[in-house]
Amino acid sequence: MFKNLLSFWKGKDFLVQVLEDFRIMLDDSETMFEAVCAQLMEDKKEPGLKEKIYEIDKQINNLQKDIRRRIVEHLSLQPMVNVNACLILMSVVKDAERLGDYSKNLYGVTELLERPIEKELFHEYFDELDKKILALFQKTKKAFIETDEEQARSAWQYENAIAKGCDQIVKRLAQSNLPVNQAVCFALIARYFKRIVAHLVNIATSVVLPLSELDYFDERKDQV
Amino acid sequence: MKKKLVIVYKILAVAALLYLFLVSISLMGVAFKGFGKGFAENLIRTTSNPFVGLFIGILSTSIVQSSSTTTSVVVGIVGAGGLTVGNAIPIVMGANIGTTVTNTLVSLGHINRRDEFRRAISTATVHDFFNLICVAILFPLELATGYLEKTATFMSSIFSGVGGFKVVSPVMLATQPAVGLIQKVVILLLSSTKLAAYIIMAVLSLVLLFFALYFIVKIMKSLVVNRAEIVLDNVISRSPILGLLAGLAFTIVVQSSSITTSLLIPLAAAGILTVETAFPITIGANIGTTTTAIMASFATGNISAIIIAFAHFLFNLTGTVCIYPIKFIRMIPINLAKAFGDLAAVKRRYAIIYVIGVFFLTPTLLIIISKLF
Repeated sequence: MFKNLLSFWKGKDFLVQVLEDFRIMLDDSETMFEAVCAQLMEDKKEPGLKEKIYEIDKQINNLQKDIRRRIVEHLSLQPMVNVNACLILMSVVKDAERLGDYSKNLYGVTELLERPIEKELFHEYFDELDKKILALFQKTKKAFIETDEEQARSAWQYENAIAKGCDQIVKRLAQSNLPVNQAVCFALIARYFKRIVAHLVNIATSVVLPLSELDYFDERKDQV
Repeated sequence: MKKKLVIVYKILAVAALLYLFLVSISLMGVAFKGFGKGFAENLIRTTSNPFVGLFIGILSTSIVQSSSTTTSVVVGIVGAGGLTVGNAIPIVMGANIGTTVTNTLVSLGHINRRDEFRRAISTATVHDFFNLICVAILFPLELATGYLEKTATFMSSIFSGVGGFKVVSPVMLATQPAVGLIQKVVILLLSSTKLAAYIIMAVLSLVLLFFALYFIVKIMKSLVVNRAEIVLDNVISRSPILGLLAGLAFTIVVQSSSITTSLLIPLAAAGILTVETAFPITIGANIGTTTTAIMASFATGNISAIIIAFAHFLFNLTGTVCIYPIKFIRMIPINLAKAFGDLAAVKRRYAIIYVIGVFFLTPTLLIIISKLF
């Protein structure tokens, strides 16, 4: 009973706990993305990957619900404390959850492929975009968790380059003579990459954007 | 460092306010004694009808929105001999019902969103139904047997027998210099009319009581709210007993069950708490709020005041013991609250009618009727 009471009393401060959970969400989605990319492009078959991906995605969803619950609890008890942080978190937690969803969708593409992707062809189209996205994961974590404005601004540059690259890939695919299955899968990968980058940049730029402008980083690029 | 200093200041402020609270109770006793025997007899006559006492308790607490204030005033008056224990018990029971108005009013803030409102008002009114059922069971029982008065008297006698009074008396001793000083100053200023001086003292004691309780609640809330957030987060996913203990502890610390129960409403509205999970926290708060009157009774140093404070505690404890442990009985207030929530969500005017009817109109009318006939 005493042990129970003690653990009941113990706990971390709201922001510390929520930021820790948010970091886990980003770490998890990064793990998912990395594992799926390895399977997709390097044709490394990881046994039980599907179960692993679905399990991590479920964990991300649960963390999202936990964070939301804690925000409501916090604002109910202390409506004047950390209001901005709460509203930002309520917004970016959705982005983090989407990262998990898109990584899961990328896994879905591996199941759609009729035969393994040719490495050369993939590099010709994607030019190590996956590596750049992994670097963006790091930047985003640093920007958000450590409130690093420089990292947040530099995430913008990444977004610009990667998003344009993804659009170009889709254009090229539309004009290519690739087999339908391969072309559709490549187009989906390009689309999911672009969405993942957009959600990462949403998270990173929340550090420098006014609350009302969250998610509209492209419109505020020159002003912040 | 600055944060720690702020905490120290707050603790010192609470200590000062607590002293002021005890002074206000002692001063109230002096004032009511000063009004003389005639006033006391009149007051006792007015409240001799237990139903009138019950409705006075409901109405006065609904107006001041604090059962701690009502019960502390009752304790102060009982201590001064202005009320008998028997007459005061129904008032205290009424105060228990009246205090539930606060969270019901808070739930009205969600009235524009139907589903949210249904959840909020169900969670708020489970406190009302619980206290109404308690009164429905224990009020007739008390009238028939006087069990609360007898048990509280027994408890107080044990308390005094083991030297409790010696422990309590320093509280009274500590307040005496301040009370004496106020008394001297007021009588000096109004030397011509002694009655006016006592009226001023009574008003001053009430002002001090409100002031002290208001700021004790405010400061204590700011001191413990961080921890309360962590505890609440743990409570939600754990056992109801821990919920009850959390409600009890938080209310003892902030000295207001209304604060505890009102904090639950937005959480219930958001769907984070259910009526079932909020219920043990609510009844914990119900028991916790009785400590204010117990503290106030120490300032009077009067056995009757201590008896009424214990009677308040026993009333809430027996209510909990009667209703909570057996699932079938426990579900009665929960189901009533849910049914009312469903009804109020469809026809929202019922919520307004309920608040005005139960807490203000019915007690007022019944007090008037009992005075007329």
